[in-house]
Amino acid sequence: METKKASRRRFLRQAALVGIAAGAAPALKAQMEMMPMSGSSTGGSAAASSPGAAAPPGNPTDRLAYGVRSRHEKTIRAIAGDSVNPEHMHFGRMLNVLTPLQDIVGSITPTPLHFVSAHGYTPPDIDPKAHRLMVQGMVDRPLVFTLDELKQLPSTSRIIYLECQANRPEYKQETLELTFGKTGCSQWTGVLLSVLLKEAGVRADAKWIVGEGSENGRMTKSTPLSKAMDDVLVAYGMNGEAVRPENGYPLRLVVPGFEAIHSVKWLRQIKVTDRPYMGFQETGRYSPRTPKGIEFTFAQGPKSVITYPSGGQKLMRHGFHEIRGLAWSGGGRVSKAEVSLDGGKTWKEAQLQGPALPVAHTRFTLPWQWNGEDVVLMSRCTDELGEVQPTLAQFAKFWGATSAEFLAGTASGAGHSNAIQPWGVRKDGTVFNAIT
Amino acid sequence: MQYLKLLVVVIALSAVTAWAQGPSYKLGKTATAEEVKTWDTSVGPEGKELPAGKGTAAEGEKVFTARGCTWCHGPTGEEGPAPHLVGGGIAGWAFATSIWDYINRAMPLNHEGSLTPNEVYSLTAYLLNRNKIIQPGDVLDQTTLPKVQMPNRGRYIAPPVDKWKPGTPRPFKIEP
Repeated sequence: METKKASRRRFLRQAALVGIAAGAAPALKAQMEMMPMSGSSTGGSAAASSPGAAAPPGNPTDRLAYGVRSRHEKTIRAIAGDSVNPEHMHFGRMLNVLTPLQDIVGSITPTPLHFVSAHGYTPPDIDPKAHRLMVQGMVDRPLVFTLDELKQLPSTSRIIYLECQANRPEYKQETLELTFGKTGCSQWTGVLLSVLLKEAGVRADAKWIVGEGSENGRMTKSTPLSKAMDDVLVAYGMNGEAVRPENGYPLRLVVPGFEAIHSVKWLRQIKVTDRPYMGFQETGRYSPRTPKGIEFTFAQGPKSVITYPSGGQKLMRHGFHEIRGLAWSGGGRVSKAEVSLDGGKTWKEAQLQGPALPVAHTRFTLPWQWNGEDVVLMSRCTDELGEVQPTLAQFAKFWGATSAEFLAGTASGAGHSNAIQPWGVRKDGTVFNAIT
Repeated sequence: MQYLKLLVVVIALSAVTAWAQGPSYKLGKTATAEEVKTWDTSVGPEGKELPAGKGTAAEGEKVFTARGCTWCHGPTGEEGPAPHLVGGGIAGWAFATSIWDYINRAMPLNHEGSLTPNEVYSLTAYLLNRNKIIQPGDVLDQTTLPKVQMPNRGRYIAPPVDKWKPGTPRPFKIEP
């Protein structure tokens, strides 16, 4: 049964979706119109379609030229909570959608289902032939590259997760998607930023790079040069094809393991500097208030979540169920994923789906017999640096607040949350968010 | 002796360009100073890139209405619905130059980049004065803006980037 509050939220989400479709660029609008407006992606009410249903959209030749999924598959991205909050809405233009993690069956996030945080801007419609990337600042030779030139340089492909720092601000939402949906894992292909920086010749006193996007607000974000020289990619490829417009077409930075705000989309400039440039996305936001002061956070800690069973789902029978989940860390490889079947009292090591790649979503599984009892399931990740995923109470204590303040949304200024997520299973098989 | 001099020069040069390597792939065009100036509008904390121009809070108040800032931020900047500009938000920023940079690159919505340097100086002065950070008569320009002391500046901790190496454990390690 849907509560009044949940129903209102759903209404707001759908209204926001319609609003975006109405105001969006034609390509985006067409894409939005493909999304069914009714029907939840969060499970529970998968209506069987009748054999006599309408034929799939588009003509058969087009469907062969560029594939579309079966018309029976309905998973879509949900509108993020902050997009329906009037305080954060940029006049209907904010395009924030979430990865439906509960419906994804592998470790790679399908590109059309990858989360999008656009900070209020409609993805620009960029002509790849006209696009330029300038590398300048504290370099010997400022350089301008065409997309074609960048593609001729030595290329690198890496499977990397990107996760928003704000994953997850809404601890008490019912579903996995609404609590954890601002993360996705893709194979990114491009040229290492270090190649471009070496071509330009970085000066010895340089310490930072500032990436800048091409959207209307031309977002900037500063990243340490030591990271830029290590493994940062200037990516034109995402899962084997061009990066999608909402994910940064035709070029984006991919800064492995750092908060995804560093991975500047629609990249037009790399400026080499001797200090962080303190733009809106580092001085106005994203710099957490630590016990010592206001600091930058870079690498994200170890994190995991059970994707099945997860909030909003229902176990339909007693007996065998495979507990499934994802674990990842900005610190490198996942070395261990554990599952608790008793609310965190004891832990069992889960099977990792190898190879566990560094800074990538890693699947884990654990066979389980459910006999119809009330149970609280949790998962916990340990990364190759030995860091262990904390509970919400431990996380809250670190940031000088209580769990209750985080749950109420009144604890402000904390960094990225990697707190353990409990899912409760009731005797009737319904699964709920058991965070406390 | 000549060779020795040359050697000293070469060593000195290579010390200055620690990361530098010669261009290997001969791809990409060298940008002229003029092209860089046209392409790059970013202004750092030192304000080195600030253009000529000036403005005061009184001028900024007029610009705030004339350029439609009021439509989203309210008549005096604190009514919304867009982010409130007085009493929170920007007062906590570390550098006044960041406010100039953000207005210049991202405002007004849908007409980004349309403000003149004088308008941006004036709007910055208006907001800083509304937040009681500068006096009503203060003139902001290339020289004075970077010197504005933001109240939260001292709370920002310089990130330890010199120590950052691949695989460095996070500074925010939470012990379970």
